[in-house]
Formats: sequence, C-alpha cells, structure tokens
Amino acid sequence: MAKKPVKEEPNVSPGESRDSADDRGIINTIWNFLSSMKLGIILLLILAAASIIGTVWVPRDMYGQPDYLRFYNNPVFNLILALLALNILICSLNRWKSLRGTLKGPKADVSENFVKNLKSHSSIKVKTGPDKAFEKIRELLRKKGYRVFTSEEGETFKVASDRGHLGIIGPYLTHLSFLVIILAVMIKFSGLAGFDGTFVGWEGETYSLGQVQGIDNVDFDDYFDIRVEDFRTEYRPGGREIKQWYSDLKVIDGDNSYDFTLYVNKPLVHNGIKFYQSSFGHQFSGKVSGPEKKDQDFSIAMQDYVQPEGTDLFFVPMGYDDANKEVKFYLYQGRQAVFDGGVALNTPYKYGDAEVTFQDVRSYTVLSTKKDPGVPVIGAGSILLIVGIVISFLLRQRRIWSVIRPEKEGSLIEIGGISAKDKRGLDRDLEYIASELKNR
Amino acid sequence: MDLVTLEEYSYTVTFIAYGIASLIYIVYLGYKNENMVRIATLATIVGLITNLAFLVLRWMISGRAPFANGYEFLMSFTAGIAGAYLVAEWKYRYKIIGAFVMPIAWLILAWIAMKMPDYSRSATNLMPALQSNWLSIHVATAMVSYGAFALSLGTSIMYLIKQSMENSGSRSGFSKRMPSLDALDDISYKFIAVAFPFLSAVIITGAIWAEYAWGRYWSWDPKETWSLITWLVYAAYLHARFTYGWRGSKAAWMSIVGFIFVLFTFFGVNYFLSGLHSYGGS
Ligand code: HEM
Repeated sequence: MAKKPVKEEPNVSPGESRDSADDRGIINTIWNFLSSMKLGIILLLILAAASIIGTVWVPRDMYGQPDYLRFYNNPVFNLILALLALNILICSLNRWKSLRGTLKGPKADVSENFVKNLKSHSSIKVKTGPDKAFEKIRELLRKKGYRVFTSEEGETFKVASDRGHLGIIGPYLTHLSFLVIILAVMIKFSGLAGFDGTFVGWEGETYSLGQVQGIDNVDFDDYFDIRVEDFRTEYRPGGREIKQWYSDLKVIDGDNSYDFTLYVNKPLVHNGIKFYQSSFGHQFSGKVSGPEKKDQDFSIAMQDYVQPEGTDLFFVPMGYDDANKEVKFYLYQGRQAVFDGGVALNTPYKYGDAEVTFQDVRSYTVLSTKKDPGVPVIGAGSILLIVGIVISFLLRQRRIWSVIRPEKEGSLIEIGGISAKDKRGLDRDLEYIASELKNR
Repeated sequence: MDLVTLEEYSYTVTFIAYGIASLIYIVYLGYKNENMVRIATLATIVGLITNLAFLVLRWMISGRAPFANGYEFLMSFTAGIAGAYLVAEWKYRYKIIGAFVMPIAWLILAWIAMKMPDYSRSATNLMPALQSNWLSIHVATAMVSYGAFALSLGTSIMYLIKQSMENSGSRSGFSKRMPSLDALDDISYKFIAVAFPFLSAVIITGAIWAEYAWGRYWSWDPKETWSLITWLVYAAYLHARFTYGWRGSKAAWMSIVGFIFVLFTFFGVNYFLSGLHSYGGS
C-alpha cells in the first residue's frame, strides 16, 4: 500500500485549475515562472543556503570583529530577497480569484461523477425519499459547523458545504506580512529615513542633538538638548560582577522636559529618536608615589596605567562603583597581576614602597542613538505574521459535496469531500454523517 | 534541606524518571503489556513535574527567570519534549510513540550529566543585556516549539521504519502495533503546525529583546540567522506539503532534516560559530 504514491488533491475548487493553460507569449511565461510555487520553495531554500554561508564565512571589520552585515547587505543576497518578495506578490495576486471563490463557498451544482471521484467518498442507500435524506444531510452538516449550499434538479438534490473557509485568509496575511517586513528593512537601508549614530556625553554637560555623530534625517523642529547628570555603574554584592549601568539624563525640550534614567534594556525614546546604553568611560585623577616618597599627579583614562617612579608597578583603573565611591583597578608587577579589587576615593592604597590615591573620577556615557521609522512597520508585520500563521493552522478547510437521487425503495446518496490539511477530521465527519444516515 | 540541594535532587529524579520511561517504552516495542507501559506514562508525568520543579527552584534561587544559561535552556528543552509527548499520548493514545521521543529527553539529560561541568550548571547572575522579560518569553516559546519539533521527529522516524518494514513484507507485531502510516504522517504534521507558529514567536520575541537591548532588532548574529534558516526549512516543508502533496516519506525526511537544523541552532552555533549569543552557551 505504501508503494503507491498518493497525489493529494490540490487545495482548489472544482472547475479551477492551478496552472492556467493559456501560455500566450513570453510575458505569460515569465509571469507563470514568477508566480510558481516551485520557484517559491526553491527561493526559500536558496535563502536558507545563502544565510548559512554568511554564518560560516564571516567578513571581519578593521578590528578583526565579525561584521555580519557586510555579507547580508551584498547585492546578491538582496536580489534573492527581492525575487522572493516578487514571487510572493505575484503568487498572491494570481490566487486572488480562488480566495474570493473560497470565501463565497463551494458550488452545489456538481456532477455525480465529481463526487464519486473524490478520494474520501462513499455511496449510501437509504430507505427514505430524497427530500427527507436531503433535509437530514443538511441538518447533520450544520450540526458539524458546515456552511451549506444547495441546488435541486427535479428529484435530485445537491449539497455543497464547507467549514474553516476563513482559514484561507491565513496564508494571505502571512505572505503580506513578509512583504511588509521587507518593506521596513528597505526603509532602513535606503538611508532616506532615520540614522544610526553615537552620542558621547560627559557628566555635568549639556549637549544638543547636533553633537550626535551620524545624525541624519531629523527635522530641526525635532531637535532637543540632553544633559548628562550622572553615569553610574552598579555592582552586585561582593563588588565583582556588574549589575547594571545607568545614565541619569535630563531631556530639555521646552515644555516637554523631564528626567530619565536610562539603562541596558531600558532605552530613552524622545521625538522618535532612541538612545541605548552602549558603552562608557572614566577619567581618573590622583597621585602616586614610589620609594622616594615623591608625589606624582596623574590623570588617566580607564584601562590606561600609571607607574610610580622607581618601581615596576602599574596601576590600571578599570571602573568605578558609584554607590561605594570605589575605584576598581588592577595592579601589575611587571606582567604579573598582583591585585584586582577596589579602593575608595581619597584613601591611599599601599603596595610595598608604592602608594596610590585616587582623588577624582569623571565619567562619560556612550549611547548608541538611532531613528528607524521601520520599527513600527516591522512590529505590524510581525503581528500580521503570527495572526496569519495561527489562522492558517487553526482554521482547516474541509469541504463536503453530496448528490442525492431517488432509487427504488428510497434514495442513493453519493457523498465525498476534500481537505488538504485535515483529512482525518474530514473522514471523521463523513463517517459520522454516514452512520447517522444509516441509523434511520 | 536548602533550595540548591533540592534543585540537584529534582534534576536527578527527572533523569531517573525519563530513563525509566524511555526504557519501558522501548521494551514495549517488542513486548506488549499495558500495565507495564502505564508505569512509563507515570514516570514521564513524574519526570515532567520534577523537571518543572527544577525550573521553579532555579527561579527561586537565582531571583530571575530560569532561562539564562545552557543548562537552563536544556532543562527547558527536556520539559518541552516530555510535555509534547504527554499531549500526544493523551490525544492519540499511541504509547508506542514514547519509545521514539522520550529517549531524546533522556539523552539530553545524560549529556548534561556527563559533559557539563559544575561551574556552568550553577545559578549565575545575569549580565545587564540579559535582564529582560522578553528574553524569558523568548525561551519559554522556544521550549514549546522545540518540544513539538522533537515529537514530530519521533513520529517521522516511526513513519520511515514502519514504511520500510511494510515494503519488505515484514509482519512483526511491532510494525503492526505502530499507528498507521496515515496517522503518523498526520501527527507529525500537527505537531509541526504547533511548533512553527511558536518558532515564529521565538524569532519575533528575540528581535524585540534585541531592539530593547541594543537598538537592533536584527543583527545577523549566527544564532539569529540559524533560527531563521530553521524557520525557512520548515516553511519549505509546509509549502511542499500543501502545494505538491509531499506527504509520507518525503515529509518525514523533511521533518528529520528540520530537526537537525533545530539541533544545530541549539548546540552547533555555540560550538562551531561565535556571536552575541555565545554567552548563552553552556
Ligand atoms: C518567507 C516566506 C514565506 C512564508 C513564511 C510563507 C508562509 C506560509 C504559510 C504559513 C502558509 C500556510 C501553510 C498552511 O496553511 O499550512 C503558506 C501557504 C502558501 N504559500 Fe507561503 N510562505 C512564504 C513564501 C511563499 C512564496 C514565495 C510563495 C509563492 C509562490 C508562497 C505561496 C504559498 C501558497 C500557494 C500557499 C498555499 C495557500 C493555501 O493553501 O491556500 N509562499 N505560506
């Protein structure tokens, strides 16, 4: 049994064919090629294959960091996406008619042979007359949630019915969502709207948006000022692990001014421009001394070092714990790390003959800054995608046709159906109807 | 008993329970005994309860959702698999499927026991970028999705075995007791039909999280890209199924290939490729 390949009925109504036969001219050929499902599946797989290549063969930027975008922004990759989008669009247009047909419902006026040739099919003889059997079938179908359409030809009754027909909207929404998402990505990469930039701000200073590196496509009316009140690092108890980085900001925009504490996973959004905690830095100042007990003043950046004269010691400040006013630093002797910990401001730290005192810290925050009008569009596309998929899977179309004609001492019922997605559900319904009919 | 010890016990009990269940289901392949297999169902239920208890305890210990490192992801994965299996057993009543699904969960736990060092199993704090509710939803949806894909893998393998036995004319009771080919195909599809929307949700919630954390909903990081690839492969499966009538063995093979992509996204990316998500690894 398993050897026989089974060709499922495609999900189309009777009377329509999936591939229209009139291949007139080259335009038709191209149109048919672009709208074919085969192309769609091949493109999906090519897209998958191309994506794989981009994760294995990774371009590097000038610092040797992976630069994934460079691969995925190349024209060939974009061409695949564009072809897929075109394919989906044409495919959807082509199927518009069948969508309308499905929503309207199946036609009752089919031939007896059509019903007999359905894969799920049975012939049932009953003792009642055709009109009674017809009534009964209608009632049973309705009870099972089917929409029922009928036609009569003399003493022959015909019934067409379906349920889950709204499911056909699902794939449409899904495909539309894909187009919407591609559109949003195009908005972003066209460079015509929005920007990707960086804001660097020292504590205590006020900045205007014009000082954001890379700012573009923002109306002057939308400009505002930002004052960086404070940048803080919060450590977990124990003082080693970082819990969170905070930037206390003041947004200054006329009447609409307010304080905002920004941290990782909590961006600031103002006039459509978003700020994300991305990096930070400190400038440390203080004094060190060596065996000669002569104070040297220093002012160095984070991860820089200061070396007391006459020693092979290097103090490397790494961070600052605001809550405890403690400078985190490494101490190296030659290349050997000999201390990793913290010391409070204005408190001397001694190691052998050497001594360091950190007296002041100034911090700056680095915020990645962007405006991307495509984001809400992506959001809408995502919702559409999920809704479309859920509809496609929840509402599984089943269709049942029946032709009832008189026979000696009763009537003959031909009944059969199609379901592309829920054949078992369909067969269960058909069995139920058959057994109810026979029970009379 | 303190919470940490309790958590260790819950892992051990889960490991034993899934092990017993797998063993009995496999024995059941060749030896039909309804009372015996009832114990397997019971063991699966017990294992799922302790598996979930593990996640709750982890939550209490760490003070955050238990979805932050490789160990926690794997424990969620096994809960997803056992959950998907119990749903299938309750809906379709074919206990024989357990022999092809529960060992996957058990093997994952065995792998943890053998390969995962203690330090990567402890409840660590979250780095700032991971402190997001979207991350929790992201992993919770992955748990459902991957569990359902694993079930579909099991029934697809059964399909191919049964088909080849029928083709070679074998009349063993084992083959006869398996669900019909139609039913196996249908179950495989139904679970993919659940897993696919959840996989879509995994990708979308991941993008939302990235948008909050970095301001980039999509950065083509390898983990992201591989989840997209997995999604494309299953999308191709669905299209081939509905427009070309690729059912039966072709669909079964596609479901197996799809699961290889799931596994690569889960394990392979962390081991073979590097990226933003590498801290999520084990
Ligand atoms: C990323 C791309 C795509 C996604 C996510 C997608 C998604 C889907 C989904 C979820 C379904 C419903 C499956 C079901 O009902 O079980 C579907 C059906 C379908 N898709 Fe796509 N699709 C994509 C691309 C394409 C392309 C490129 C074509 C064009 C030729 C296409 C044509 C179809 C057709 C003809 C159906 C069947 C509709 C029906 O049964 O009424 N899809 N698609």
